[in-house]
Amino acid sequence: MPLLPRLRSFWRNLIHRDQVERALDDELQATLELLVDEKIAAGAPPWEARRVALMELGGIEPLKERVRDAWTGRLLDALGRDVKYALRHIRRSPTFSSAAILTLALGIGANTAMFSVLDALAFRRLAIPDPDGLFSLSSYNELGIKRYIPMPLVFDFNREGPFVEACGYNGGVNFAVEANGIPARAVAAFVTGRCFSVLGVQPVLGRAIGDADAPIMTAGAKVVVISDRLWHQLFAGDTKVIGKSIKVDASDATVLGVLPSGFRGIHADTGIDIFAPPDSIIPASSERRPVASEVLGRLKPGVTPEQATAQIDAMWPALLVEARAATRHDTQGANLLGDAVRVDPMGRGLSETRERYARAMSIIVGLTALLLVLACVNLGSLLLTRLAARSTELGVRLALGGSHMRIARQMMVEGVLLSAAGTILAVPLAFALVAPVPALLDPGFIGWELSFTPNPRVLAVTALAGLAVGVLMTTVPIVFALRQQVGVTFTWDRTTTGAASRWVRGLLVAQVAISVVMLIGAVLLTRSLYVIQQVDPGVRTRGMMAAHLLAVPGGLRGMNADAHYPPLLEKLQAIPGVGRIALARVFPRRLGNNTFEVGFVGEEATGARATLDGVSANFFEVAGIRPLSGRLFTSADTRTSPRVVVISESLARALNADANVIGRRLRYGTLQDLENLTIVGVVSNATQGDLRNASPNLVYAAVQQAASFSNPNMLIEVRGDPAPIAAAVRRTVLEHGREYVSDIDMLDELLAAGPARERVSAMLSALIGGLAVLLAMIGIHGVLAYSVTRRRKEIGVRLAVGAVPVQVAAGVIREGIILTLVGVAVGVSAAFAAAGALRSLLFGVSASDPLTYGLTATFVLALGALAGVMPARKAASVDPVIALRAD
Amino acid sequence: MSSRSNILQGTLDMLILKALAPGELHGLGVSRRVEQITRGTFRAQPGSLFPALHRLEEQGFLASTWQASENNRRAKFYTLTKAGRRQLDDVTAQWNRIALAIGHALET
Repeated sequence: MPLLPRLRSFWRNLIHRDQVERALDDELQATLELLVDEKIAAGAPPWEARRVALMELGGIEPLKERVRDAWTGRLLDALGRDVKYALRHIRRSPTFSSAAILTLALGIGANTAMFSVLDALAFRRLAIPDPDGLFSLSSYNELGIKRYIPMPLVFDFNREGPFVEACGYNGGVNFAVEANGIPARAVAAFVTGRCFSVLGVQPVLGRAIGDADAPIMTAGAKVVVISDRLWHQLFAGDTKVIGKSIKVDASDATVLGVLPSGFRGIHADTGIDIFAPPDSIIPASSERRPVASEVLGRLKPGVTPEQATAQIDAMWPALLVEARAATRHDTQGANLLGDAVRVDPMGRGLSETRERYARAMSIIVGLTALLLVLACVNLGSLLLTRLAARSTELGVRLALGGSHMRIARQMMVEGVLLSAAGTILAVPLAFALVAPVPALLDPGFIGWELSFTPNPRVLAVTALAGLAVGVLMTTVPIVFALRQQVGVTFTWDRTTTGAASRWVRGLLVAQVAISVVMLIGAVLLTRSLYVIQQVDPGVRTRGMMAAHLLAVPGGLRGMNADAHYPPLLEKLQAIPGVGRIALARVFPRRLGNNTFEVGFVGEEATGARATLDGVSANFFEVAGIRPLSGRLFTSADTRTSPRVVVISESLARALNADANVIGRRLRYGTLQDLENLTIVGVVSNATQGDLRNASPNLVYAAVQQAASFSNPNMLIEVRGDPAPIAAAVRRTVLEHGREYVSDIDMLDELLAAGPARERVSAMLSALIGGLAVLLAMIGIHGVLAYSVTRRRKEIGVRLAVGAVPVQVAAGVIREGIILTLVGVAVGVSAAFAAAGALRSLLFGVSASDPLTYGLTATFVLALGALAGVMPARKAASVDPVIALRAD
Repeated sequence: MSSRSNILQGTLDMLILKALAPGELHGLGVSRRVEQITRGTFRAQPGSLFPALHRLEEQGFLASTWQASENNRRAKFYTLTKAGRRQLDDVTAQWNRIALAIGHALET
């Protein structure tokens, strides 16, 4: 095909369209006349000649169409006209168009937002080269709890085994740091040499920690590699930072290197700001050699994680025997040999946020996808409604020679335009929906910094989704359009009847049903949150401050709790505003679910489990826990007298103690010094910090009887402004030596912050449920409005023959209510059937709670009535004269 | 929107070019001439003829002018361009080759 002439024609067809059209018209008219002349010359009468001539040509307009199809640039030209036509159509019905665009924006925007969050939580990879090639080796005890691995084993893994290169990693604790006079808090990780090589990262300034800096068997060099973030924070990006001094916790260190921006270790949530060799700035004790929480490494080519696990499993006993025992004994005393090792992919890094929220998040994403389905359904029904109204127009177009393909294509263009507008609107909506999420999820760790803003990949998916929706939604009415009869129906009174109308009704009912289900879920979750917050924690919460103490480096060496704490408490009580102070090991910062088997000594286990806490003698009194029977700890309970415990009410009941438990002997877990405890008292139930578990089975041991005691929680009665008191507590503890205050909170705030997951679920589901209902109402409103527009003549007639406007209005509202009612009925039944799915997230509320269902149903019904108000008013205000005149 | 197969379309194009070889004609005239030169075997329907004429013109094989027809009506006349003549030679040669080959095939 010769290119140049085609381009010329293309250009001409585009720019000089009118001329081309006119020329075609002239040509074909002329041809017709010639043909007519021919026939007249052959003897036919003029009108006959014309008729036959037209028949031979096949009609002027259809012929024109066929010639047009042959023109170059046909598709673009046709598309251009379709777009113009579609735009005109969209402009002419603003209510429908805005309803459609809004629907799409809501559906796509919500989906984009939720998908962004899920992406950030579950899919995002670490900012290192080949993140999927990074693996981590961890060991787990039989309860599945992760345990530490002695660091010296890392040398062995570098010599033999499935790793090309391995390094030990122990990170995630935050410390106070200071440099250039600027104090800050930073999260630190302790790594062996080669860690940066394993991760695939090189410092941009200085060098990385090498094997020489981290000998493991002896103390490491006091050097640190800092993150780009910390570099700017403390050194203002000074390029001469290498060798400068930085104080970490109580040690002085020098800066060895600065890492590239964007890289912050394997902790996806918080990032690590300081990398240091083990046993350097935080010295290890001689009884406690450095341990790693994971061993990071890259596997040898061709080795799968399963093979690696098996290999290390085989090497494990020999390795442990070699390495110097270096772990702290946990309360069970199980040794490492019994642990299971596992090699897991580390591409996404460690993320506590992910672990906490992944399940809730997937449910939310599921709901949001449902919302998009709803939006599509909504849009489909709106388009169908319009189609029914346009059947006359379509009939005429088909009669004039339009092809089904043309009509279908034009409707698709309209759908695509609407969804394009909706998608564009959806983007800022998505950003807005994502904005409050970090605040909701923030667990308050130092340096927590997850970004949920939609990244380009998510936005691209959004755009595609928007387009797909547009195309998909137009296929529904197109199916109906193509079934259109060619016969032109010029009836002047068309009420919305027929198959299209049935589909519309069905879709609307489905919409209402789905939104009812989602709303019920949202209400259940919200009530659940409310219940949790109303739970009686069993302790006094007002005016109570909870401080958590951690040891400074070397602080525990030679520590004597009996000599250390009483003077500290005296000093603290001297602070103005401070009342009584109690000590506890666990309360109120309960972490995890460490329960152990308990039973009476000499009896069969009843299957009861409990958790342990070590508390000072005045703990119950200060915390407001009531003694129910027996006694509490006294000064008579010493290290030499028999070990006594106080148990909670719930444990007493769980032990099936028909009679008195006072005086009976209890066995807790399997540790030797906890197998013969005398129960001296029972106290009322109290939480250990988790409101979802306000009545745990608790065994309280006396701190004064413990062999060693450190890192306590302090429960402090305060009066007045807590801020200066908190500052004074920090100062006093630090000055007293050995320990520092790592966290200090008011107890009521601490407890309230606990059910974060429930709060997030409730808020997000309420948001989505609300959106769903909004969509359904837009749908109902749209359909009713269009119905009124279509039936203007009918309404005009009714008003003219004496109907009262109120009756007409009432009719419209009734139609809306009936639709809503059916939808609500279906929705309530569906929600009832699906209630089980939500059960694990609920607390204190039954999944089939009748109050919730009833309230939601009533609410949606009321909205359904409301949705009909505006169309009803429009119906009532129809002027019969005008309506009947328009034809 | 051509519903003809490519072979038929190519054949029609060739006949149109051939019909215009002696001199210019308007659309109807081309139709008559094609009927004539194929001894009535081919009747170019207006529905395929006019699109073909326009297509050939766009491809640069035909040129058009507005002139007076035999009964003094204004009509659009088509004529072969130089490229059109070359194209006619090419497709004629091609057609002959095909006819020969098919002829051989049918003989055996």
